[in-house]
Amino acid sequence: MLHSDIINDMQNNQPKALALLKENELIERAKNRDHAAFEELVKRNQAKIYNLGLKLLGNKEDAADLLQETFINAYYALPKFEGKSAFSTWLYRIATNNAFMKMRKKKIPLVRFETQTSDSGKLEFYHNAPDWSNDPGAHLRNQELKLLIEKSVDALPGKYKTIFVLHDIEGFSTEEISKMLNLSVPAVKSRVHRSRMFLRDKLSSYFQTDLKQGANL
Amino acid sequence: MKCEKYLELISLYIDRDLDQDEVDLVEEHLCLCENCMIFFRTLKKTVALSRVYYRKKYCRVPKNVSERVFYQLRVIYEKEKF
Repeated sequence: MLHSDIINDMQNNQPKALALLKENELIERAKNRDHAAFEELVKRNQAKIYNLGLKLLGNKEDAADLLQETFINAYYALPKFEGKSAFSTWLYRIATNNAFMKMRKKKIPLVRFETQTSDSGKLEFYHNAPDWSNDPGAHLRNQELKLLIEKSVDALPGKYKTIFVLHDIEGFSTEEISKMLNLSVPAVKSRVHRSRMFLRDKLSSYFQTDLKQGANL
Repeated sequence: MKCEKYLELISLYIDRDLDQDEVDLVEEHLCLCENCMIFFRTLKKTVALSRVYYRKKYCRVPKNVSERVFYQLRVIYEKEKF
């Protein structure tokens, strides 16, 4: 069968009523190897996983691979899904594990910061950092700032980046993340904090330089 | 308590993840310490900017990427038949 035949066959045979079913009904059907039900679950969740991949891995190719691997893993693991967490949380768990594997292959540090970070005692920096919170440049129309945010998040070690994205961007609670990543709640909180400090340091340095340049004009 | 002890509490304060005693402690310190107030404002702004930036970047799954997932699943279903 050709690739295009399979896609056409798939699109024509999907019962439209599946789109109306609740997630737990689809899960039960999919556990019994109802393929159409599983594919409906894929349709409902694929954008979340693809976007998570873009944020964690930084490029479309790896995000596409992550999406595919996550749903293939989910298909095999679904009979063991007990419903103790939301289905999407369970998917995020599979996706983050796959993302860590990709990061390891690419030798991206998972827990070690490349540069000295603030929580190692640079209290001086906090106390000399400018208050840029109301700076006219502190908005997202500032292209330089957007690039800096992206570059700084990318510079976080893999596990910190993952926790920061799950907590501060995706809005998962520290309890949910602790279950997802098998970490204690205090460890999750501490990593959220360290990630924020790292990013805040980067932005503070940018505004400090910017303010100095402004003063020299 | 020294300023450095407040830093993580300030992060949790932003998340409203403190009990009332800790909230009182943080708020009292922020009123007295200009540097920690700057830290609080800039940390809060960092989180807000990052959140808005990434949420605006949310994109659809390209059609070919999605089709590849469904194609691979079909291959698995076929294999399972045997």
